[in-house]
Amino acid sequence: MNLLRIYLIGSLLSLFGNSANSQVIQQTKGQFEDKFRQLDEALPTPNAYRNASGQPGHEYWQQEADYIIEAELDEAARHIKANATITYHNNSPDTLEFLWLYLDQNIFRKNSIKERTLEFGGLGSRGPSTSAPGSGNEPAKMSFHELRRQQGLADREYGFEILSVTTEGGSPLAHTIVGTLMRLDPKTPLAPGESITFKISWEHNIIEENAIWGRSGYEHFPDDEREGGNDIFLLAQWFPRMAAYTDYEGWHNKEFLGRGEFTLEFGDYNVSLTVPDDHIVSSTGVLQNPDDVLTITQKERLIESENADRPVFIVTPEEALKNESSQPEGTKTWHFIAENVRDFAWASSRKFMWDAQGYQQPDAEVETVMAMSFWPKEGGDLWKKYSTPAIIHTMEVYERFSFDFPYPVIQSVNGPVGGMEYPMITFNGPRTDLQDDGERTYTMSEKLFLIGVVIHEVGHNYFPMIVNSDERQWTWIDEGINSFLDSVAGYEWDPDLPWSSSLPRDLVPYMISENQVPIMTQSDSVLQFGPNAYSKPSAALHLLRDTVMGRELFDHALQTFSQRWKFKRPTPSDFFRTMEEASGVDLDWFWRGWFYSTDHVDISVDRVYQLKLDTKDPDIDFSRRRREESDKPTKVGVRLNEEGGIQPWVDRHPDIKDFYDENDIYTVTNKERNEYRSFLKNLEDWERSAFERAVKENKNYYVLEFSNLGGLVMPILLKMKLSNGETKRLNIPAEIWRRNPKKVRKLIVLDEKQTLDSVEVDPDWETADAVVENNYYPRKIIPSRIEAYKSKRSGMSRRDIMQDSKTKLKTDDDDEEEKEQDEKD
Amino acid sequence: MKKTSRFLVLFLVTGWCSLASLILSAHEQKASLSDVFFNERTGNLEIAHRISIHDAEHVLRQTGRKPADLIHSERAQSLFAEYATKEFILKTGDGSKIELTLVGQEIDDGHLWIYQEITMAELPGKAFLIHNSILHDEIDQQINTVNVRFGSHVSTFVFASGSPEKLYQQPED
Repeated sequence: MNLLRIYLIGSLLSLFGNSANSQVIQQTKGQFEDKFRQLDEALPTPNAYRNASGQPGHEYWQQEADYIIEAELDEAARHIKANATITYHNNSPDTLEFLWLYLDQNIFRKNSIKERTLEFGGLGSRGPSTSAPGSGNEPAKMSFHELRRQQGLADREYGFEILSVTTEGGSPLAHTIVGTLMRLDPKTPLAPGESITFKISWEHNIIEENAIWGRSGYEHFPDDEREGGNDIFLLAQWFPRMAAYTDYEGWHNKEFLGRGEFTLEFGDYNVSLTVPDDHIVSSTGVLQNPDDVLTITQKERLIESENADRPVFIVTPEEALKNESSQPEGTKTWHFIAENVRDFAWASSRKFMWDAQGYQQPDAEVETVMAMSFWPKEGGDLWKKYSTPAIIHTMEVYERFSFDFPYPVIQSVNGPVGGMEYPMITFNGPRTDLQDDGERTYTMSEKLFLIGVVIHEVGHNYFPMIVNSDERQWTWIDEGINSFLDSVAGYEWDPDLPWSSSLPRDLVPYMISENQVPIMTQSDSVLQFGPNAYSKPSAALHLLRDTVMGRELFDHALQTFSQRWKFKRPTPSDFFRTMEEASGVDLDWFWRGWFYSTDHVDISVDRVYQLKLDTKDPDIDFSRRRREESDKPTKVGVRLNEEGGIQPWVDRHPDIKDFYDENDIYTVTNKERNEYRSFLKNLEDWERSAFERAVKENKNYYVLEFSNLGGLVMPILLKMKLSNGETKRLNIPAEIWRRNPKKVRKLIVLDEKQTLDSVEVDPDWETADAVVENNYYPRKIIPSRIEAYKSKRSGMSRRDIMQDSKTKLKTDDDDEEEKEQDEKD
Repeated sequence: MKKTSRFLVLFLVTGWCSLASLILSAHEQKASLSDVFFNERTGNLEIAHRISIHDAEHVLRQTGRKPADLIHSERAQSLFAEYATKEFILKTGDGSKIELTLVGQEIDDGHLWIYQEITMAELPGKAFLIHNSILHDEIDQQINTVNVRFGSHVSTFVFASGSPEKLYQQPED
């Protein structure tokens, strides 16, 4: 075997850095870390319910719960009284001795576990903060919100008052209330395939959302013209709901503590809501009795809106304003039916204006989806312009990644909740500001907030309302996929708006910080909820789509996941498995790095050296080596001697010369020529032709050395600039790190005329690479954020728009006045 | 800039002082990130605060400052920066405040950024105390994360409402 010698032309400086800690499989012998260890040993064993390819298994089952509910809203008392007939279908292979229901309103009882375990000065719970006395002079503090919350809880009783639980026939059914849960004990166990129907009646006080902090409640508007003001009621978690029973956890009978949200069973809902007769109701489901509750004009407008290309008012702003001072003369019952939903929520107020626009999905199961928004005057033009259009935009984008919207209605309702999702209905908080001149304006960031929150909450109708993942265990599945898709939809709405915190580049400060946990951490143990469950998984999915897998493979895989698990209940392993199965891309290293570790990305290009092929021909190689020697800089001492006029001995004795004065060490003799000849002669034919071709082509070989300083293995994205001005791109897949996740080398071959000027790693900031300086070879000085700011500040100018456009032109007198005002402040 | 605190101070045993209440929507991001960077090239300790625009607008609006449109109003940005520099404090070990220079502020990457700096020569040594209470009095559950970067070392400090000041010690490198 003949080895060709490659010689080094030049070597430049080399850097080394600290390797970050990592949590992957490490050995006690040597340095090997298996960043590519397959995940199947960490995932649950596939079974008949969830198979190894990430599909629902051949015996997949899930329970079903159907509800018939009659409820009455007492506006003055802010009270609900209701009864439900629940039919529970046991589709599992198990016999159930008892059934569990969620009584989520019980979290607002004074003696709930949540209330009793609220830590003073503690972190992580939802709701107002308190702080314990600090060291030194820092006093203990309690926010006004917390004070209001405590007073609110003290003033009224909250939680479900269960009036009766009976069989279908009316005989009492044994039940036990355990905090936010209730156990029913039917007389005979429920066998596989059997159903049971039972009845519950209850009542409860509605919380004031701004005081008590839930995910629903009422908001009071004391300044409305009507005596006593008005309320907006948002009702959610308002009825006893069947707890989930699954193949992987049995009964999900975990006390509701406020943070981890829900997973529920699908079922059909038939709900009658009795409210004051001047209220407008928005609800999960399709309205069954428009003749009883809507005017002829409203019904006509609704029909018109079905095929409109802009939202049409069903209740106009003028009508809503007039309604604000109306008095009810009685009640009306709004009747809704919703099929195959996992929950049911609604809203009611006389303040609502209402617009609607049909969204057409030709050939889909539901061809016309009614996108509708409900808001009070406080929502103003912001809602009129953007709410319903943002709903429709969401469906246009999300259907490409999942499925056609399967429900006939989807709504956005403004009230006291910042942003919350339920099937067919979402609660969204952004509003306008009332200015001193009586106009309502909104800032750019409020506009961004409205569009963003409507997309996000409507997007939750796909994940997890239809792809029914378990939020209480793994918040990131629905929040991560949904944050990813809402940012895709955001950038498709307007790429120039300042959307934030969803791309890999936004995550760098979080990913280098020390206080974090892996994404695959149970919801209640997550340290920083926002980056952990929303933005880091979102960034990971952007990276998969645009960089690692490519859009075609990724979109197909995510759509496969969505369609496989539509109206079913996926777990993280079903997601990981499906993304690989549908794309044919081994992603276990990616899941390990991004979802199971806290490594960050920092790939450094440490060293680049150029190599040329030795021709073996002494007449070529020896003169080249002589040239290399003579190209070296003159020895300093020799140069100084020359400058000092010291003439070498040989120059002073030119008459004395020998063979070695005529021939240097690079002189070629026939000895070398014969060796060359025999080298060529001893080559196999294929070796000789390969060799001759290589000598003729005289390519440039470059070896690039990379080190992985952050720990997270990533593809190496290269941009190479050549001396002829050309730019070459090369994406090296992450698998290059599989044998040594710390240091790798890559050979780049360029044509004779192409020489490499510089190399850049991740030039488009795709991978969340934390250190930009070491992405350049030769190194480049990267100005820090502050340096960059200083250099661009001189040319910066910004304009005020909506409110500021009303600014009066100032006179000198005005300046005086302003000065006085400032002094008062 | 005048600031109204939404917090009641609880005095042990005695009463409490009362201040005006402010109402918030429940959807703030409740997280800021600050980068404290030893820039060896410029010889400065550089501090960049990354803050949610929407959260910052709430504070301006609730403290009665107009205009509150941070994206379009430089005046609103500088009002907020002025406020933020009072809430982010570096102190020497003996408790005296280290004066930082406000370099400026801008909207970038969907956030409000506020920049401060001090020459490293002015720092008292290799350790200092950090406290970051930006938005703590205005937004319930606000969490401020501070990364201090020295060479390739990152030290992270997290400040919730009431968190005490924390000691940063430069690693031996």
